[in-house]
Amino acid sequence: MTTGYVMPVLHAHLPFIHHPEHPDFLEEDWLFEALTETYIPLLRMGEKLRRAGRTHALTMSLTPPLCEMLANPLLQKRYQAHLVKLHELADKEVARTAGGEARVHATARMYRRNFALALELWRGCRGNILRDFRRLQDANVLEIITCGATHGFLPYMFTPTAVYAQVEIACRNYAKHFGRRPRGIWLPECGYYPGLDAVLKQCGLRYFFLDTHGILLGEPRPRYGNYAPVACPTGVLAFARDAESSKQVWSAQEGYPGDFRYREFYRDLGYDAPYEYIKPYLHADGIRRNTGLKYHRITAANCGLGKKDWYDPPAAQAATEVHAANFMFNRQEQARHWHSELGIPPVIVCPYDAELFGHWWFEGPLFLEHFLTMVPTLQKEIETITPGEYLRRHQRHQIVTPSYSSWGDKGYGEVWLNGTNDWLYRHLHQAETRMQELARRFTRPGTVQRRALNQAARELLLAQASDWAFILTNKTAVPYAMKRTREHVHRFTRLYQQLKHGVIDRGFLADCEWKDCLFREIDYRVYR
Amino acid sequence: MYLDYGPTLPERYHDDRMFAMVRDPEWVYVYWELSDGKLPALIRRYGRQAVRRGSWRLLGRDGGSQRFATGLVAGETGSWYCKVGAQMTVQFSLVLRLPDGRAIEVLRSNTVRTPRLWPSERTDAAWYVSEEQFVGRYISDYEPPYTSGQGRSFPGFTIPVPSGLPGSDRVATQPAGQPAMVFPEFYLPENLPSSGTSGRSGAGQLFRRRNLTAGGRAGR
Repeated sequence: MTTGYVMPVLHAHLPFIHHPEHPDFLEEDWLFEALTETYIPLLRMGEKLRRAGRTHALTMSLTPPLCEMLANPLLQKRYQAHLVKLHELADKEVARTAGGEARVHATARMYRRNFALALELWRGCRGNILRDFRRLQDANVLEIITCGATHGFLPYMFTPTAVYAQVEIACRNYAKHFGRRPRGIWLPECGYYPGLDAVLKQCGLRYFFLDTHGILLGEPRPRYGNYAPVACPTGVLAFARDAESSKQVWSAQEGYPGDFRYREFYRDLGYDAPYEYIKPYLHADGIRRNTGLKYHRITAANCGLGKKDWYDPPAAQAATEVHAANFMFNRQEQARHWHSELGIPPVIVCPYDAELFGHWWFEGPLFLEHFLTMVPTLQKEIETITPGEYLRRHQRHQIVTPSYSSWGDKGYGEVWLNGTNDWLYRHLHQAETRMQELARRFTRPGTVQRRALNQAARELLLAQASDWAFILTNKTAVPYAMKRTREHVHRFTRLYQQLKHGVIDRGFLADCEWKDCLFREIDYRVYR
Repeated sequence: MYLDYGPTLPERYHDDRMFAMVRDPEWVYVYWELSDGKLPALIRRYGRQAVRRGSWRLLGRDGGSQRFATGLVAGETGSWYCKVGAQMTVQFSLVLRLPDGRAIEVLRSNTVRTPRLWPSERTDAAWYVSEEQFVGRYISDYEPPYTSGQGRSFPGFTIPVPSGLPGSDRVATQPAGQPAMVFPEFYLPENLPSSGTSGRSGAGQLFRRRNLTAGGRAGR
């Protein structure tokens, strides 16, 4: 008998980064690294689960900008070239390390094998990995959900129409890639405000996710806390994150990824290798950067990068099995406790950034594979479930209005609204109202006008991405985030002025369409 | 090293706008901008000297008609973080206080509500859970991501509305060296231009220069 459910949810998102105007662009590496280290390993894992007949194992949000990048021919071509180079480097590394320290050589061989498998999968699907994700969804292994069109933080939109546009455009984009409209949504940054569920309902969505306090501070008190979804007044369901299981994976101190046997992220061959040797694998500017080939393990707490010990792949792989078993044991305990306390099978929602698995925590996909394999084979108390399957089995839910919340630092909006980024909003809000003005004004646009209107909508959406405000707060790639926001607002404003004055610069429009080429299917009338 | 931060964006859009955004259970961010015609209209109505010598404040009202105000703010365009507390329904006004004591509401924001910091007092008969049960089960071991007082110190903070006015029992710290404010009346001039009116004047320019001199905030 099932005592409780575990609902692993991976949120896969990257901002839309596409620079055809440059032959080589640093920030495009974000996608390439995530593909090699996260998305492809997760697909391989999903395929193993599918072959084993597993169903309802995992929920995954693939955000619209990520889907658009994964389907983009230029980025596909560039990624293949990137992967071929990595494979070539790993080949050289296998030769270089032969006869030396055994652990280093084993690591080099591991990379060569991983890159070869990635290339095989990539070539097998002709670069269209969305097709493979869709196949996993069709086989019920995976439930894919959507997100805001460009991951805009919905509580900080100026008008309900702009919120609707973010959600509806996302749903249409999902339909383009996965053949039907989505049933659920990962709200960008889990940003919820009372009333947002009405927009979700309007778009046909049945459920979304919140951080723990979004439900615990809901109105009235939720009887089952965050261990059962609640129905918003509109009937849309909200699932909330389980704090305990989150901590076991997220926490830098107590979390599994901090185990000393796991790979050290910050020590990379790009910095360790002789310059002339590594130069062909760096960007055109020749600056040393991460290559993805790392030979050291975390080793110890507070251990300096220079004192790291060699990575030992079999030891790290063994650790994933132990950690997966421990994670399962803790969920069993948790399910048992809440089942006896509440009298219902609790649902333990475990959401994580997908990129944590593989990119930051190199062994993460293997940990997940062990966990998802162990759950149905080693015990009967808990089972993994997806939201769709949960709703099929459970139809009665308490009506609660969740509280304004996010999963950002301190739980609300400070990450996206503080002294580093608050200047953004007056520009974004102005653009929102102008976009609506255009949508109302142009009822029968000509061909070029329609193109300009659709492009204006794309520029607005791209400017709204929460990633830029996040980067400004965390001070990671500040010039790039500033440039992106300003450029999109600027392009939007030029298009707005041109439409308003009846003179469209076709060269400028074509340039915008070439660079910011997501959402080919967009219809600006969504802003009416 | 050259860093490309992208094109410069306009400082103003020349519209009347005041917008409030909830940052967390205690703080609300407000930004505003006056259209070009607003200041000239104020000058026509109240006189150049009165408007020039007037001071700009943000005034907040919660659902219970309590009022609280910030210190001096910039007039034509600006922003402010206001500490309003949890579970408050707040609307802000940009107010020009004239030398004779009259307070003119020049802009008004949307209404926002800050979230709660503690579970609801309400339970549901069909889904009953007592407060004690609820706290014992879900809250006692839970580390909330936000606790009261965690917010950083921002330049905007509540100050007491002088006695005799609604909401005068609000307690907060008044900025040192600033006089107590009086809002005897709340005027909403009828003939101020609406959003989108144009017509810049020397007075508008004067205000902008003065604000810039004071680092973006009107100071005297």
